[in-house]
Amino acid sequence: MDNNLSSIKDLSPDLFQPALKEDRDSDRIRRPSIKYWPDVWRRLKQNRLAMVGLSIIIIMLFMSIFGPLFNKFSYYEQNYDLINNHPDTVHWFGTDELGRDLFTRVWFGARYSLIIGVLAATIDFIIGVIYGGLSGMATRRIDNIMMRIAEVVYSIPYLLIVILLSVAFSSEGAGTSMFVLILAMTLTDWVPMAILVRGQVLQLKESEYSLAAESLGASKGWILRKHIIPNTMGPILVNITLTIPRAIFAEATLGFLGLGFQAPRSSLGSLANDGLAGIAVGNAYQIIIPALFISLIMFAFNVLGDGLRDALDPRLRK
Amino acid sequence: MEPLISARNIKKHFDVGEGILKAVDGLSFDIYPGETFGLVGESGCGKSTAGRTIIRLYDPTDGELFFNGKNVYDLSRREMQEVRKDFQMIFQDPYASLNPRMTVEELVSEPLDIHHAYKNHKDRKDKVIELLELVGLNEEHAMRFPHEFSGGQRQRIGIARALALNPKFIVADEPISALDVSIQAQVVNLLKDLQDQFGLTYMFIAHDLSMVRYISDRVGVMYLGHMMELAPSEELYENPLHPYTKALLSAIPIPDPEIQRSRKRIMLEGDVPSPINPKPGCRFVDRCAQATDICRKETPVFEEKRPNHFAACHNVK
Repeated sequence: MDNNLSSIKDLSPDLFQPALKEDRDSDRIRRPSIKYWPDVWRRLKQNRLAMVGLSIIIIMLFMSIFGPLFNKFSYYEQNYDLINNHPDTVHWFGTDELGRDLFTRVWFGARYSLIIGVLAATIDFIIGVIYGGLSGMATRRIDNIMMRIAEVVYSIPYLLIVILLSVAFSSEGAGTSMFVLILAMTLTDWVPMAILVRGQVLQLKESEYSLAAESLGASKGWILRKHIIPNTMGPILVNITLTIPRAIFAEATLGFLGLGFQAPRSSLGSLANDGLAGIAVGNAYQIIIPALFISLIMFAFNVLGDGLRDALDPRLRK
Repeated sequence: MEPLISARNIKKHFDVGEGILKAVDGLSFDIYPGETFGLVGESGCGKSTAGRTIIRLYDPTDGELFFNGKNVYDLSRREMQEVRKDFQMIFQDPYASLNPRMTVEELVSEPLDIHHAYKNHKDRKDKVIELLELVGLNEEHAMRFPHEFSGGQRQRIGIARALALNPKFIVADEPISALDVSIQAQVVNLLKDLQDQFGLTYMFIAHDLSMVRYISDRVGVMYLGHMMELAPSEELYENPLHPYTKALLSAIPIPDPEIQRSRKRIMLEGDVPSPINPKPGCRFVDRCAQATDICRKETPVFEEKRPNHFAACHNVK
């Protein structure tokens, strides 16, 4: 470069050709390509509270799988010499009124609570997306009928259903089975998801890109699959993260009312119920610990859901 | 010459609860192969509905549309699928008409996917790149998302998508009105180049009269769902017959202050009447300076007033 500048007389006319159109590259994009989900993840990471929630969920998941292996006690093993033993170095969370190790039982309970939460949310998701998608894509008349049915279903109080179902299905002394619990919870809980999806479908099926696909000869199913559902995934995901704690809380409520699993199996709700008796005799840790875990799980999912909602909102994009 | 498309009395009505909205109410015209048919009119006059009804994106209330000797509106779903390959549409808003979750490659190859128009993965990729290059983009854009492009580039992606199935007829629904003025010419010239290259036939919907004059061979003027006047481009702009066309043309600014200041504009009085439950008579009657009694009673017939020059007006002989 310096050489060229210092020897001006060496410059020849062929160095001064007009730039070719192709060389100008006006359509070149210099910014690196940012895909949608990595971008959402980037924004989610900036939300500290949501990351705390996510960390708690990951720790909870890990511990609910491996936690019971951390000590030598099993969730059903009773030790009458160590009844109502306060937390110490052997029994980290203490023991209950039958001498069972609470640390193991809490993680066992958390395992069932999480399984119920995730399963209920998954079933809500599947039914809600299919029902809402069909309703949104159908003619106005069918849509109307489907939505009225959904409203009727949603107006049934779920506690009533659970009690009815647990009475109808439970065999003597077996308590309420997981199947019945999830059935009872999802029987009415898919409705908000269906309404959400239907609303999105109604909006997006009028969008120009759906019309464009239709003009290309795409079927309704194609438009739903390729255009509408992918663009609805954000709100759906937020709804799922808020459905999971709702289901966990519902199950905890049932467990607390004595409608949950039969002992020796436990959920966080039934553990809290068992611990209720301990308050009066100075064993409050028996209820505080499971209650704390319920609160932690609820908190974690709720802040993650809120964080996701913010991260998915393109108007907040920086 | 045989017309490529013959529209006969096309109607599209919507039931809006408080009445029937007659967005398109009896359009008849021919479009010849290789030409650009401009359709102009003010906002809400039914231009876009007409465009969408013509490619059967909306099911017509009434009327016939002949293409290749067949009435497109009578075709079954399967037969329609074949015709879809020949009819394409370019949309107004390049931001809304591209799915934000799809890459450019997915967007441009969507018509190929729907019609299974490729042999293998490589064939598909090659076709996409070929189409992108046709509209001045290239391979490196294929993996990008629409939000990474400018309005003009997005519209070119939309054009590439419309070209994917080698259509014969393209409805361009205000393809430039959402674009920056500096980009409009670029897109219009691209459309013209593609027309020369592939012998495309366009229906160009717009409200920018000077742009329509530049691109169109023949121009139709719509008002409240009716065709008011239809003539070859030069003829329409030089010798407009219908009072509405005259008013519209007088609104085009002339880039010469002397002439612009001294010329007389025809001002339209009143608002566009509602297209819901329209009254009989000429649609333009409330705003027309030359309106007479017959205009209020009878809808004027759209007929050939001069050779190749159609108009619907009682006062034009």
